[in-house]
Amino acid sequence: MSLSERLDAMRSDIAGCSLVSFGDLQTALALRTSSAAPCPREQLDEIFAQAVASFAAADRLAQDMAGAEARAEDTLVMTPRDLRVFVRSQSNGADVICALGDSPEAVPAMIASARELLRIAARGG
Amino acid sequence: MGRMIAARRMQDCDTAGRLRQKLVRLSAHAAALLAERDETASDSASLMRLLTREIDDAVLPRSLALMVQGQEQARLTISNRRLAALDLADAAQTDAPQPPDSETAAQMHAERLKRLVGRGHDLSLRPLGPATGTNRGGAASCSARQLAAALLALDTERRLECVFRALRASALAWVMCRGEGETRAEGPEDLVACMTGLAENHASHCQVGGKAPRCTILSLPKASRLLIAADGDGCLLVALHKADLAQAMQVWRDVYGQTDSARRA
Repeated sequence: MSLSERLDAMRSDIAGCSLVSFGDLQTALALRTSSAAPCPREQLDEIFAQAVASFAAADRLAQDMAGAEARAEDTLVMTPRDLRVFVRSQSNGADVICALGDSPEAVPAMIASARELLRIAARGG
Repeated sequence: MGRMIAARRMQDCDTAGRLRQKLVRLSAHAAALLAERDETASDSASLMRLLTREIDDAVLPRSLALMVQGQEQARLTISNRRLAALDLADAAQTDAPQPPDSETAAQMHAERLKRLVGRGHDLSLRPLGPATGTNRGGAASCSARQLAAALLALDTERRLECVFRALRASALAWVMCRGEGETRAEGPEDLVACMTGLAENHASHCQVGGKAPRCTILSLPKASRLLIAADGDGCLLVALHKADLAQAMQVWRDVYGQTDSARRA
């Protein structure tokens, strides 16, 4: 199964999930995206910029607080329109999955699927 | 025959959008335009829609009244696509100095409109005809966009305060930052220090996507979570037990209207 097919499968398997994108945190770029509706490039840029910003905040928190997670694996951002889950690879530096959903109930499934997808991507799948 | 000018694409999307709206209104049926006069407003957003339409349409000075069940609540003078004056009907007329600039005028008018909306009635607009005498708008006036921004700023404060009041009881620590460096905080010193450090940097960390409202959730040690609600120039950080997170997320979604209709919009 190709990466694009895996992204499609993740989106269609999770109720309310409207977009799943695989990208790079260092460049804040979406590399492959599966979206229920056409997603303008500007919106993808904004989503990835938000992923970068939220992990920067998480890293700063980890640096400032004793006992904090060394490297947060996931962050969550709510906007008035959607709910955005960002999961970054633990083994492959800058790889990240951004997923958009419509309810908090879908968050655990989005995080679990994104982790699995990142593990497969890290193995070169 | 007149000289033809080649069409060219407008680069400014905002200007193009406003031009399009004008063309739509120019070509609208008279009945539809008359029906607009019957529209009412019950909150800041709907009131701003009514006012923007009137302000943007006005060239010559004219007066309007904001009405509730036949009773005049406020009188507005608009001219040259700007709001020149807004006086509440029940406020004493004073010799207060005129606002020195358009931003101050917008803030002053926005506060008055907020008071009107806060009374909880349906407001309607009634045209009163040409503005006469001293009400022709010689003082600092403001555009509809400045007024909308000032109203939004007032709403921003209210919404963040709303989230804060709902979460304060369950907060392990909190930091509330307003624009212009005003910060309040409560909680264990080391936790507050970390949160304040993040808050001071919130322009880069929490506000990607302009000043639109958003809420970021990060992990903290000891099974707790940090909720960062950013809106306009304000930012609220609340540390919570993980068990309280779902309810806190629901509070934010309720205040910021993350409803089915908002998501479909």
